[in-house]
Amino acid sequence: MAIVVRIDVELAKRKMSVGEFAERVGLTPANVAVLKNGRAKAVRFSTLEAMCRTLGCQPGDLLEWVDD
Amino acid sequence: MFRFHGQLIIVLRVFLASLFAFLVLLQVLSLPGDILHDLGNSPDAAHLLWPMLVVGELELLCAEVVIVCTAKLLTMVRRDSIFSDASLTWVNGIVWSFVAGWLLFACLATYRTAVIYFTPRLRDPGIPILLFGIVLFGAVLVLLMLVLRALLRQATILRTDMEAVI
Repeated sequence: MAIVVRIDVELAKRKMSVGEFAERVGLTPANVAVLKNGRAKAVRFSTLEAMCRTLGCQPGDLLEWVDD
Repeated sequence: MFRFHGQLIIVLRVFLASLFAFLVLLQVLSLPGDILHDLGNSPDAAHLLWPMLVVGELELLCAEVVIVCTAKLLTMVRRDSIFSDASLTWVNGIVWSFVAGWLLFACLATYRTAVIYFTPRLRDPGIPILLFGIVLFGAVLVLLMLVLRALLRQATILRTDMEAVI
């Protein structure tokens, strides 16, 4: 995947656990793992919004394009 | 809405089971009994009656296969797993049964028409026209099944795509 979801970086900055993040965003831990591993094919804007709200960051802080 | 859905499936299953039992009854009792009786009465019509018996039995078998496949698909609808590749197996069963049934009937209709044509005593356009109409109707049904199959495939792809969205 050329688009990488940098959840782990933002989580580390805030010292938030994956479980807490999943619960606050309203995702299943399995789906958070899918996002982190770069296996996600599509993300709803509502999910992106919830992640940004929880982490207090912008979509650009979470999504990164990598040339592969 | 969903409850109604569930009740509808139950009612449909009851009717499908009844229809299946009815078809089996036709297949093992009525149809052979009737035709064998006619054979006894008019042995000279054997060349018409035997193909009718064989094709009739096979047509009923096709109809039974369609019912079983439909029942399987209904189960998948109830479990909300209809939009999966597994459902295509049963849909293929239905489509192939329709195709087989149509081909059998078309062969019988052609044979019957030929017999009528080559027997001056029987020559009359009524039955051939009726048979031709039924063959046409059957062709439309087969094609309709293929369209429905394509729609199911499309819906399955869309559902799979949607499920990948987080």
